[in-house]
Amino acid sequence: MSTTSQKHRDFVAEPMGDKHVTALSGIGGVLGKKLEEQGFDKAYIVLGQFLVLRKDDELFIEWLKDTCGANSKQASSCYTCLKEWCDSFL
Amino acid sequence: MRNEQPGSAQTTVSTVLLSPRQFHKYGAALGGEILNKMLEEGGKGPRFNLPFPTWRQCAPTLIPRNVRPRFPIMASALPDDELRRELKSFGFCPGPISDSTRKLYLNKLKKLASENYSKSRFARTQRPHKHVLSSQQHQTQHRHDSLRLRENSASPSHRYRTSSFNQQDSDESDDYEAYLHCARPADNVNFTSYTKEDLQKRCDSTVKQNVFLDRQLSLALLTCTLVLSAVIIWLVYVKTVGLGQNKDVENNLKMLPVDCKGKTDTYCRAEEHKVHMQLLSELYSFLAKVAGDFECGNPSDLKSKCISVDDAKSYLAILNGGYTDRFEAALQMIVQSKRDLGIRVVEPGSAPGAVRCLESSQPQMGFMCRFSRAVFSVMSRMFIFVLALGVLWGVLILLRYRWRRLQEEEQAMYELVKRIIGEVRDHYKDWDQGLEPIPYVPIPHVRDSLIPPQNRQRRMRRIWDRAVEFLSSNESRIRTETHRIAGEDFLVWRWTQPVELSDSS
Repeated sequence: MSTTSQKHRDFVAEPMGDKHVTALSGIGGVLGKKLEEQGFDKAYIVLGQFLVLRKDDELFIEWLKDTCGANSKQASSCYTCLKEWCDSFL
Repeated sequence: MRNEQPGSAQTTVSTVLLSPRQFHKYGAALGGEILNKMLEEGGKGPRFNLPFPTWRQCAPTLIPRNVRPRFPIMASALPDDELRRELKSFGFCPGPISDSTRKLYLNKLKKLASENYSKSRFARTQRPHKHVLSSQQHQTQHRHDSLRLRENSASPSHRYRTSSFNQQDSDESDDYEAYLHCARPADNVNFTSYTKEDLQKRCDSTVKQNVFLDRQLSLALLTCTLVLSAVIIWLVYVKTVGLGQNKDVENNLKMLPVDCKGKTDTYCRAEEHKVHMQLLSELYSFLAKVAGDFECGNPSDLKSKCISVDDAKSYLAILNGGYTDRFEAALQMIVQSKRDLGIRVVEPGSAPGAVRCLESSQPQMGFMCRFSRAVFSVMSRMFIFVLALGVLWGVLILLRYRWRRLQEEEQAMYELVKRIIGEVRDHYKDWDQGLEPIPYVPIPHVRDSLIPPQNRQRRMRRIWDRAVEFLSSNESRIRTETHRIAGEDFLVWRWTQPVELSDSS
């Protein structure tokens, strides 16, 4: 079962720079809009929240679900994406 | 991490320690009252009388059990530093508590408290205190910051690092821990050995069945072959002997010198009869020899075994001069005789140039000739049976070959299963010692570490698939799960038995 999404691979491959929040794996158009409304318009802001939560999986997923209404799969893929990015670049 | 000075911001100290029953009974009322009190004091609510060591890194606090509060009073209205302290007392390191994170941490605290409560109720009598402290010390030595303890009092063999994201998995591992407390180690071992024995029996039974069948079939075929060959030999013998000379006609009488020509008295007639018989016997042997030669390869290139009358006459004349006169009388006797004398008189048919000739009805052939003719005739009649027997032998040989192949494959599969189990268990041991980052190992990785690349696609593929199938259905110590590793979903194997209890297979 190899279902690494292209989005994940693209995000993890390089520094995120100024990428929009929809560049994160698991965050599509709808979720991206909701996050924008909350103030998280860039991927690095979500990264900030991720780091503030000490890169904890449960907390981050819970936070993401609460903030933009993501489901478990989307939230967990976003978590993985950020975690791997941190492992490579942070 | 900032250092926190104990007792720095608060002067009033009120110990509020309730037993769970009390809390359940008075909880709501008490909660409201305490909330008012907290609001009065400006958000610096009651404090628990606890020692607070300074910490440089976020390590789990070494708080003895009986002092740590068993139940938080009101999680939803705690100030930030209280919240932080509470979380730390459960061994959880919170990050900065801000507007966006406060709610999360409050939920976390609630969850930890209720977990701890249920755990302490369930397993209080089972785990002695010294395990608690030793395990914590153990952990601070081995783990780095990113590790988070599920609870303080876990015994060394039940640590799990959660890398799974869904709640279900953590519930599962909780249940599993609870189960392990109750289960006796002997049970696990017995179960394993039972299944192994059972397997062994099952394996043996199929092998035995195959061997039994094999033996039966080959015995049956062997007896058939023997019977058939005995029958053939007997038939050949009968035909060989049966084609031998008919002794009835051989009447060799002494030649009488009495000249009985022309006389017709009884004595002379008897003598004449005797001479005639002698003639006939000579004629018979001659004709038989000729016929035999003719039948058996025809060395003298005869056209037929029928000898013309003149030739016969001349032959007899060579033998004995007295035969020529009596020849015609002898011929008459042959024609008139009702018995079978072994000589046949063939009248000339309508074919041009055919003459009256004599033929033997019982050709005299050599032994080899008779034998070969007998074999040939018997074989041609028994052809069907011989063919069927040959086919059955061929089928038996094929079956034997197939059975041997299957058995070899099964042996190879069990060997591979053993190696896989060893590999997964070693991986778990390594993870336990901190050499591996995750407690489970992806299935393709195990395959690639056990099977060299040239065998992966063709030779070992079926054996590998069968081994995987076998493991998922027959091995209870290895659990098959799905996990996301490095962004890719994998089927993984997780060793689920505590290392100290596992047997060596």
